[in-house]
Parts: sequence; C-alpha cells; structure tokens
Amino acid sequence: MSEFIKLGNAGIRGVVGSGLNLRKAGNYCSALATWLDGGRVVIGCDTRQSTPMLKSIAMSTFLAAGCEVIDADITPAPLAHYLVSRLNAVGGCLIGASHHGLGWNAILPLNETGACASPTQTQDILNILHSRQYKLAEWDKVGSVQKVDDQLTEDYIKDLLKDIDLEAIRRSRFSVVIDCCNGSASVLVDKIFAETGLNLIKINDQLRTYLPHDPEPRPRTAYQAKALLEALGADIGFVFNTDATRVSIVTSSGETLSEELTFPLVANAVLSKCDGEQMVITNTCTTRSLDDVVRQHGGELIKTRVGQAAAIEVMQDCGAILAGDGMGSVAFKGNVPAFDDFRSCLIILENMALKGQFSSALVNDIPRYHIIKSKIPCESTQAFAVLHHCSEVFADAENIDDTDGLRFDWTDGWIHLRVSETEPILRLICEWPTEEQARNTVELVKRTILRNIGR
Amino acid sequence: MSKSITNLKISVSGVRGVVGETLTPRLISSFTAAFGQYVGAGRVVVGRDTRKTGQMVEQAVIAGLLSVGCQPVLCDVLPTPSIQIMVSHLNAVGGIAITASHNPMSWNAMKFINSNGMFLNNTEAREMLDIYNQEHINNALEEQCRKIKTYENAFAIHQQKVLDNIDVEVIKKRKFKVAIDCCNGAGAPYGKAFLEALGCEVVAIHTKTDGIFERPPEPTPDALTALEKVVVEEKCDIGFAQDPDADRLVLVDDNGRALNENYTLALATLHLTKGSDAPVCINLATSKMIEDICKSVGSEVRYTKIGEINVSTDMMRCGAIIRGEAHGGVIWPKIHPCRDSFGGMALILELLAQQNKS
Repeated sequence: MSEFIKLGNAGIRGVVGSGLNLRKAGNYCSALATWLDGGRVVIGCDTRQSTPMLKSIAMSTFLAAGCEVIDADITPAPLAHYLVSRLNAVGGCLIGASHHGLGWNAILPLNETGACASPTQTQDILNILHSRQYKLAEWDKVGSVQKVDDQLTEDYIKDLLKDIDLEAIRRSRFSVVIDCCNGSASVLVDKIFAETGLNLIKINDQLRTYLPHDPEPRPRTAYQAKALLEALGADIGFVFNTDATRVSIVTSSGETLSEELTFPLVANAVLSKCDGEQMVITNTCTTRSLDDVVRQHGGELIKTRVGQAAAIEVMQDCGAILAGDGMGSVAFKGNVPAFDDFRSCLIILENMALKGQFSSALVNDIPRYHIIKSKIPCESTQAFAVLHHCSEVFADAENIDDTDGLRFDWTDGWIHLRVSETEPILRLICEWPTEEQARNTVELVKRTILRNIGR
Repeated sequence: MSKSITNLKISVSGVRGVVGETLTPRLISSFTAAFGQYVGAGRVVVGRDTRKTGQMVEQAVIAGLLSVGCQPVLCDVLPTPSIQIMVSHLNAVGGIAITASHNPMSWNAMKFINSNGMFLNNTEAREMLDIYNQEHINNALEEQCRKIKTYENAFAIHQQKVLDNIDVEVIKKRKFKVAIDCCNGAGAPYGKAFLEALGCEVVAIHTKTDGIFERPPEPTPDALTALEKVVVEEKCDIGFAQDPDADRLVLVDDNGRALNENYTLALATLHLTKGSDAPVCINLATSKMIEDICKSVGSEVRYTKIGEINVSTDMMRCGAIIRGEAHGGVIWPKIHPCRDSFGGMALILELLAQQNKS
C-alpha cells in the first residue's frame, strides 16, 4: 500500500518516501520538462512538509531542460493557473497534496492555457516517461529562476472581483468564517476579502506543515468552522482544502453541508445572473441536485470523466460558463482555467447579499437528496473485473453510463462505481431521496463486491 | 569511449561533469541523497560559485538532501573555503560546495565536505560511493522532511576569522594599493570589501557574477595578463588572482609580473615560519623553494600525496603551521584546514607591511 503510486490525468501522486520518492518525482519532472520543451514555466506550491523537496527537483529538471522557471512559491492553485496564461508560459506544474491526507504529495502538470494537462497531453507526458528519453539543454542554455511580480497577484484579485457586486456585499456586513486548512489560501485570503467589508474570521491560516483536520472538505471536517460559527453567530462558513480547489459550506443555522451542494449553490447563483441557455460541465458522479438546478435555469449539463483535467478541457472546448464536481470544486469561464475556491465564496456571498437571505435559506432553493460516498479497498489488478461483475448484477438499471467507471440510474436514485485515479480503492457513490434508501443500497453494493473478490 | 563517459569524473575530489551531457539533475540528486544518508540527517551547508548552471545544480542538491531528511542551509554564492568554515561554524554534519573550481564553464561539480569542514578523504569517499551504488536508499517520509534554511552573508564569518588572526593595524598603516582579479567567481562579491577592510585601496577586475569567466579559470601566469596590466597602470603594490571558487591564490608583483604559483605558498611560508619551529606540509609537486625556506628557519618539511585532503590530513596529524600545494593553495590551519585565498591575501599583506616592501 505505502509503495503505491498513481500516474495519470492527475499527475503523479503517492505516499512520500515509500511511493513518491526522489527518483520517481525526478523522472516524472524530466518527462514533463521534455514535453514542455523549454520556454517559460510556472511552479506553484501548497504548504505540505515534503513540498520543498518535490519543488527543488522540479526546478532543477526544468532548469536543466532549458526552461525559465517562474517560482510562484506557496500560492493558491487558482492563482498559479492564472499566472501561466498571464505570463504566456508554456505550462508548469502544481506541487501539493490538495485533499490527500498527511503523508501524501503530488505533482500536477499544467499546459499552455494554465489548465491541467488534458488527458491526451497526459498520455504524451507518460509516453516520454516510459521512453526515458529526456531533454537536456546545453550548459549555456540552462534556465534561470524568476520570482512573481506582485502586480500579477493584484491583477488576479482585480479579475476575481471584476463583476462581483462588492457594494451589495459591503452593505450586508457579513461575518464569515474561513478555514484555510493551513494551506496556500492563507497567503491571499486577507487581500482578496479586503474590499468586501466582511468581518472575516480566519482559522487554520498558519502556513504550517501540519494539518489541522482531514484536508478533504466534508461535513465531518467542518466541525471547527461550525463550532466557531455557532459561537459567534456568523453568517456563513467556508472550509478549504490545502490548495484552494475544494470548498464546503457551513450555513448560518450550523448545518455542515455536503460538499456536493457547493456546486449546485454556486451554479444557482451564477445561472440566475445570466440570460439564455448556458452550458455547465460536471462529471458522471455529481449529485442530481445539480441536474435539477441547471434544468430550472434552462441550461444544458454535459457530463465528462472524473477529474479536473477532463472537466476543464470540455469547458474550454465548448465555452461553458461553469465546470465543477461533487467534491466542492467549481471553475468559472474567464481567466482562471481551473477550480477556484475564492470565486465560489464571492459568488455565494454576493448571492446572499442580493437576495437578502441567510445562507441556510439559500439551500432551500436546491432540491436535496441523500448522497453517500464510500471507499472499498481493491487492488488495481482486481478492480476492472469487479466492475464487470457489477454490470451484470445491476443490469436492471434504466440507464448504464460508462463515461468513467459505471453509473447505474434508476428513476429514484443512482449508483456510481469507479476505480480511483489517486488511491488503490474503488469509489462508490449512491444517491437516493432518503438516507435509509441510500444506506441500504451502499450495503448491497459493498456485499456484492466483497463477495466477488472473495472477502 | 563515448564523449559523455569521458565527461564525468567521480573521484575523491567530488563528482564533476559537463552540464547538458553527464551532470544531470538525476545524477546530482542521487549523489547528494547518498551523501546525506552518509553524513546523517542534520544540517548541511550548501554554497556555490557563479556558474550559469549553479542554480540548476543547487536545486537538485536541495532535493537530494531533503529526500533523506537533511536540512540544507543555503549560503548562495560563496567561496569554497567560506563553505568549509561555515560547516565548522554551524556544527553542521557536512557541506556541499557546488563548483567545478578551475574547470571550464560547461562543467560543474559537487565537492563533499565532512563535519570537520574538510573534503571527504579516500575512505570516506568510498563509503559514500558504496551507499550511492545501493538500489535502496532510506527516503524520508513526509513528516521527516526538514525545512530549507538560508544563511545571509555567510562570508562575514570567514572574513572576521581572518581579521582576528592578522595584525590589521600594521596593514592599514601601509595604505596599500592592490589589484584583485576575481575571475568572475565566488570571490567576486566579497574580494574588494575584504581588502578594503584591511585599509587597502582596491582595483577589482573580473567581478561580474553572470557565470561568464572573462579569463581562463585556472590562475596560471598566462591567464593573468589583464591583472598584470592593471597592476602596472594603476601603480599597485601587489595583485591577487583568484580561481572561480576562491580557494587558490596567485600573486602579481609591483612590476606587473605574475609569479609562479609556488611563490604564493613560499611567501606565506616565509612569513609564518618566522619564530616558529612547527612543521610545514606540502605535496610532492611543490617547489623545492619551500624546503629551502624551511631549512633556513629550521622548520621540518613533510611531503604528502597530491590533493588538498591529503595535505590537510597530514597537517592535522602533525600540527603543522602552514601547508599548501603547488597550485597556489595556501592552507592556514589557524583559520581553517582548507585552501583559502582570503587567508593567503591577508598573510602576504601582513608580510609586506612588516617587511616594508613589495
């Protein structure tokens, strides 16, 4: 387990030391540098303890391949994505473990638009990695390191706030709890909200390498924000992962919302500001609440494979207004071709201000279901046989979709089963109108699978 | 043999190679990880010369050190002797000097330093190589990864050490006018200020630190025509020439003649052996001049194998007062058992000041 490593659309990921070690990281970066083929690159980091090690080997291999390295250092992921396109860079990488637990880390490749390398581009990188033919620049063409001009950060913030009704937010004098999970959002959160007139209550914004709680935004990880919100009577709480790409919400009534509801809430707010039919991108295992919201606004929902790379690629291709998933991530049409928690927060605050509603009331506009996400330990070697078995067991479904893993749809609920891109597990998601129905289905599927793999 | 194989030299004086051919990030970081594993998970001082490829090598060195739980202490551009002094000053477990010394610009290298501030000797180098050759290395887990430290102006430590051991007032009184040729190397940011601290009026050349050496990096008399000219034109009392990592020192006299490299050590020896009968250590390729000087003052001369570490080791063993090598390498153990152009410059100036001549 600990020597496990995942190579794919989400870059290279693993447990530091035993899985993602210096040599594997170095080879991956060499392949990435070869694919980028010189030119300007951006490296952005989160706050994990092993990040400087991975950053150094990335910098060294990029320099050796003749790249000019823009060292964005500890920076929220959305800003790093923005910098690539603003600086006309050829790409770069993000280093950080995002939502993974302590001990993990990852290197995520970026392309020339600043988005995560697309699935096709990822394949090219992996082909170079497997061929072991890496580019080395002549000694006098070896690159140099530059820092990021502060003005670019200002520009990103200006862009972020551009069409937000700041006046309305200011008038509302919200008290807002933000939990940065000691991640990279900590470096920017004050600057971004400086002009919003919020009473900003920041927690876990220490830029320390230890994690104050499980970094995956979930109801169970929002307890610190919830406790503070209730004690202070704050209007809303936001809980980030360590690179500001996933966010979950705590409402004014103290409800720790499922991270599945972040995207429907943001979509509801964004779509109500737009005219005409808008396209929205998500994956095949996102809550039906989103389907309902997009339908209410007369929009079109397109479903892709799971992962940021796939969602953003389709978003860019068809000019969609939003792309996101059920993990609390949303990307917006504009200059940041990636998930951006800051924008999600601003959109929701603006929506509260314009409607004059409590955050607990915003949720009432969204049809709600009960969703259960579960992990089933399963080695990669067995995983695909298990999926095949399930497709026979649940053949009575009204619709079976194999865009990514398998999704079985019935009138009142659905099951999604997928081999994880990032861990040696099967991810199981079930959604039904009631908790009991959802729970029973999860048990049924788990029994079916465990019996199949002989446990 | 292919070109790339002749371009890599792994020896007791470190790992040297041509960037873009043999000295790759993978090789550098793997070697550094083996070194880190060898010296143990503690602080390791890292400095570099001014080569264009220095940052690339430095980043791979940092990655290698962090990957085995060492803490890199970064000193930016710093002369090799200053790095050795910093290892002792900080009680670090080791150090890495990123410099190919007098090799051409396309080369770079890592010189590995042990916790005494001395280069790895033959045995130590072999032990480290043994770790490098193993398939498995103990990679640090997330919670074992250390933070990177930076140390601002580490050269100040070195400079103070030299000034504390020299008669600064005597030198200052003479108000020398001196020229220094820094070879666009690691001594360039510091050489002028160092000599000014000794009350000299300084003409410094080849001080740009963009990684382009404006003269051949090896300080042989042929390479020093620019310095010779400056000494004459500016009517300097003496000229000093460093190599890219500022361990070696060659002198130009007031007539603008570059002296054979042996003279640096000979003059320093002449100065230090006065009133002392401690032995002098030199390698087999060093001029007989040293032996003659020592005979005249009654000091013992000990010959060792060629290579700084061999000279240094023998000197530590017998408590020598000075030691050195033919290539302009002055080792003044009172400062640190390493070849040091700054200590050398101070000694020569003190000698001149006391003797009242150039």
